Amino acid sequence: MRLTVDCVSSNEYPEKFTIGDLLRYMDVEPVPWLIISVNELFFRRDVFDSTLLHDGDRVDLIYVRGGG
Amino acid sequence: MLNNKQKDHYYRNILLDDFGIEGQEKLLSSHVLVIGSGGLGTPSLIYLTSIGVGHITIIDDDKVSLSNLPRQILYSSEDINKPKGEVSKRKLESLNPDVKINFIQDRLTENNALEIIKGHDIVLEVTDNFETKFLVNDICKKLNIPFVIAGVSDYQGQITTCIPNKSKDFKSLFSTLPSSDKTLVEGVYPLSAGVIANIATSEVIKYLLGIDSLLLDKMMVVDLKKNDFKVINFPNL
Repeated sequence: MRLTVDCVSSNEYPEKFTIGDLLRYMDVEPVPWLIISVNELFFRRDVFDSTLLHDGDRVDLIYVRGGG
Repeated sequence: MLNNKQKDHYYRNILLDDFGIEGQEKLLSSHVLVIGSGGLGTPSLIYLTSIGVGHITIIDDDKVSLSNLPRQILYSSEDINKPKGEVSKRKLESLNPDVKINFIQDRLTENNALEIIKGHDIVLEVTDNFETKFLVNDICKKLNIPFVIAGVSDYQGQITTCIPNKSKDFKSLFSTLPSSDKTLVEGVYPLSAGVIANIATSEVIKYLLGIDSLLLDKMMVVDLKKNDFKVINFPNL
């Protein structure tokens, strides 16, 4: 299926792919300050492995910044 | 009541639809607490003061250092080693004598937070650590005081606004609360700090004036390197 991840679009992704699968595929560590936006809706870390992605989804990795 | 000099001073504010004389008077009678007087806090304080927010409290326990100067735009080289709050008060009161600045030379902690936060109309949290952001989140909810939380590092940052009992809060974004690594020193693009601070300050002003379109249940995520501005919705829990 096709996903746009951090503005880069590709159809290389398998079906039945969760947010957790995507992060493992990208070799991204799900640190506590990482939240994922799918089609401009946030998903928290506790639902990464239960949230299925769908063809055409736009996924953004958001690292919440603690600095000031 | 605005006097003639104030009507002249705030003329271009007053001309705005949502301001008028009444809005300007509202700002001049407002009490805003700014937690942190650093890269985000200093641009915020300059605008809050210039625009005419009448009562501003600053809490920061830090002193000005040389490496602050590229982004902490209220300070200059002669301020090095001086307490940030003290320098801020002097410069801001000179910038706009209508504004009363109260500074607290301390760090916000679980022991003093309730006492410091109570009585303010809104709180702007712009410190450099997650622990204080979560503390402000909890105490403001307890006191039913609206708050804006912003953060920045590298070229990126984010802003969100919470009105207790009306919108979701910053903490609800996390299933496991992150903590700040005090040994990690990250770069900060000064212009990102400025842009994020100004959006956060605008949230404060809009709240005080009753302008809707606040970042409630939403977070604005800014990446100035990519010129990317996103508004993302909070999860339904």
